[in-house]
Amino acid sequence: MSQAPFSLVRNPLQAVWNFFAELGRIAEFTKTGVASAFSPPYKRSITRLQLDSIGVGSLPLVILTGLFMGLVLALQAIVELRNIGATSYIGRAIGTTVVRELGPVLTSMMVAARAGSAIAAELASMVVGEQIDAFRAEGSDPVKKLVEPRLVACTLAAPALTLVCYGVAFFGGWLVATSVVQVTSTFYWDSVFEVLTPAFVWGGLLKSLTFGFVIGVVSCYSGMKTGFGSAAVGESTTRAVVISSISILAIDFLLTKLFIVTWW
Amino acid sequence: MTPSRDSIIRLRKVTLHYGGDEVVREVDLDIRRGETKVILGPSGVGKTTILKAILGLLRPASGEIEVDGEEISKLPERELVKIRLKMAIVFQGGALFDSMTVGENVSFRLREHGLAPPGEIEERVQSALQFVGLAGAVKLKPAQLSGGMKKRVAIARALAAKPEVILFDEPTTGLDPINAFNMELLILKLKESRQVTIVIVTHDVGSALRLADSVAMLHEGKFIFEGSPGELQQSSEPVVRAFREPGSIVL
Repeated sequence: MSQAPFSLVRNPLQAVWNFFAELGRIAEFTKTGVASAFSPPYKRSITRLQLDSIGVGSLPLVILTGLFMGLVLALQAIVELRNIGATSYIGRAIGTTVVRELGPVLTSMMVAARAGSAIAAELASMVVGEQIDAFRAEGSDPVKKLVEPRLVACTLAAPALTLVCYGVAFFGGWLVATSVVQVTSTFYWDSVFEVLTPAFVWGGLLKSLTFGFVIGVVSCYSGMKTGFGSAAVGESTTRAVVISSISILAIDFLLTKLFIVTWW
Repeated sequence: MTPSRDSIIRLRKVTLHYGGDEVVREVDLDIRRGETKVILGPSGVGKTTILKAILGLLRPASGEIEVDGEEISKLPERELVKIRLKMAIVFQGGALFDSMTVGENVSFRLREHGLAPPGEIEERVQSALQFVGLAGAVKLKPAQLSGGMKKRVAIARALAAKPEVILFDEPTTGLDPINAFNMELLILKLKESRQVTIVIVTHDVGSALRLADSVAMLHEGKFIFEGSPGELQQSSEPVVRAFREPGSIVL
């Protein structure tokens, strides 16, 4: 009982220590993954396979997300713009919101949910089934063979998918704009492209590039550092999606602030 | 010839941690070139941990591990690869790579390190699969194999690389009696036909007696017995006796 007050202090301190220790391990893991990506031999064929699995595999989900995002955004924008008699500016509202924020964030969330979870589950299963040890026993480097291709594929796939999401969201917005408030197609597309300045587009793509990298690191780390037994596979998968999603939101805030201060 | 020169693997005062716990405490072990050594002990006592340390997959907390005359416990990962290529391991569940076919699994090391030209690789894969009685399985995926077949493919993977040492982690665990018997026959065939050092960890006393040239028994992080299978059968050490004849213990 006399130790209770100390444990109240010790436990939070321990938690903080554990948090920073884990952060250190993630940083070390990231360094190893990045160093591997920039040093030969390059595993291009495996990276291409991962790009297909992560990029092409996530395409239907991203298309659906983008479409519904465009449809809903347009409906919401109409409600607000009607009050000030400016429904013809619906293209601007959709363009700005999609390119600067929702496109990169929602696309990356979908990649984290679909591809990030799959990466974590696959790598965790390999750890539990001793396949990672087998790679090392065969004189192979699991970071080079497994982590690097997934990390590179996530980083490259996220911006590409974001571009697709942009296009589909604009199309969704166009469907609502032309059918609900009878904005002409030309006016809608003109107003969308008006806000597609290089700064906004590059800013959005830079965001998704960062999110893709984070998804790759978090998912690979969660998978490779899994515990024992099949329950650990589930825990690693959940951890990968949760940490990726929270990281995306937090980094989005930081990048938005940075872009506003610098070049937006 | 001194014992150390004769030994291909030597452990000196090795302490190993696993999952934060100390599982093996300051152990010494000598494995002679060409012998079949069985490390015997109950589950969870640290037998597999010792195998992983010998392969350099796990660093000892203290002590020295020597493989073929080279101290490996402090070697950087890149240097360890050269040491690992002298050995091969058959993991408990086979640990075949799911995404590859049986043929790709068996030829993995040869392709990865360019150890043989493509024609020879194919020959070695066929010969290794023939040795384990799975010549027709080259195009199958691990998911299409039974537990016993996976272990046999894992043996073929180990053989194709022509290592100096083959490590077996619980080769008969999880197999039905017939498959376990066949696995033992396969190891005996391997022992007779190839000049290779074999290290087996198992909790199966019968297997140990049938396969070993020498046995070391691990108990609570220490080797409590080392000797020939005959000596194991004669040992009056209470823990060895209890493990050998569980029925003799009065609970």
